[in-house]
Amino acid sequence: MIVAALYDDRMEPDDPDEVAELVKRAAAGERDAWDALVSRFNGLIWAIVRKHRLRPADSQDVAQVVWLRLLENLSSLRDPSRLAGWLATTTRFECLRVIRLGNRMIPTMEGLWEGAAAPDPSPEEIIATSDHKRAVFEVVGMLDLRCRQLLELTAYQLPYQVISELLDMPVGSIGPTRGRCLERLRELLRAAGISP
Amino acid sequence: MSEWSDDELLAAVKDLSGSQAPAGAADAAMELFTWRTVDAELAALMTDSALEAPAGVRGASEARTLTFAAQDVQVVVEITENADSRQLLGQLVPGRPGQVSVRQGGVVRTVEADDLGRFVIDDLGPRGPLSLRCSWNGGSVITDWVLV
Repeated sequence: MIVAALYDDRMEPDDPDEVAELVKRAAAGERDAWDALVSRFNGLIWAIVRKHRLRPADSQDVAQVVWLRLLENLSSLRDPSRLAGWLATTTRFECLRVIRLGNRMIPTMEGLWEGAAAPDPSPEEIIATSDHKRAVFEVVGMLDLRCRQLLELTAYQLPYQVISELLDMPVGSIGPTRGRCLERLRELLRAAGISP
Repeated sequence: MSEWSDDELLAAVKDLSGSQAPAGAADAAMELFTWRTVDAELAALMTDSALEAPAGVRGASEARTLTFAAQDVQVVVEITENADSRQLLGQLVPGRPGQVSVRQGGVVRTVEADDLGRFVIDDLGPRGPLSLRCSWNGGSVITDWVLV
């Protein structure tokens, strides 16, 4: 039985006004605002990349081109507070583009992404900053894939329409399924004796 | 033992999500900030033939066409893959002479656009993100980054 520990550096749900403010500041040239956006949403981009099961080199290309696209579009986003949806949709399109382009004929560029691991780290490879986190991550890993994917996307507060397209699920079923998946995760954590 | 709230569960899932990105990926994305362009209008990606043809129909040697649009100017680009190299043919619309800087990853090359706004890059680099900066007397645009 794992003794509970204080969950000290949890990630808060994204406040849309906060996201809009970060976008505005990044557009004005503030590097720390850009870094904050990357920290918040990098996981989302890679979650979608993993879902499309791209090869490592293609995964890296997609992540890079999505961030670069955002970088030059910071001032032109129609609704900066809905950045999660923009990133998810853009990433999905880039994944589809890569799949359509098919096999590489020319070797790829090395560079910024040297040494980046293949997209599917096992629970042992994931860096957890505390034993408590590692224990929680292991339990989340026990959820079935569908629940894990759904909860991951809802954690970024994506519009249900975007989730529906990404997971090929009817919009109306997202809410109820989310509730069931949350309850399943709650039960798994309870059974493992892990408190928040 | 205290119960997990929905918010706490989702925060944990989101935390794991961030940790599942490859090591170094977040740092690499943060470093991209120095590539930002501040003084040119954006020409948004409008069409990509790679997404329009039915899957599997496109031949290996067929050209790929991309169009980008800013307020008053379009950039049309055609990429052809040969046996061991790739060529990019481009056109500013309406045509006008100028310079085109090709950004591929961290590498920048500049070519001339002729009086009709046409330009050629004979040896396009390896697959990866690409953006063009097109400048002429009186203005400039940068194209949305796209994977080529």
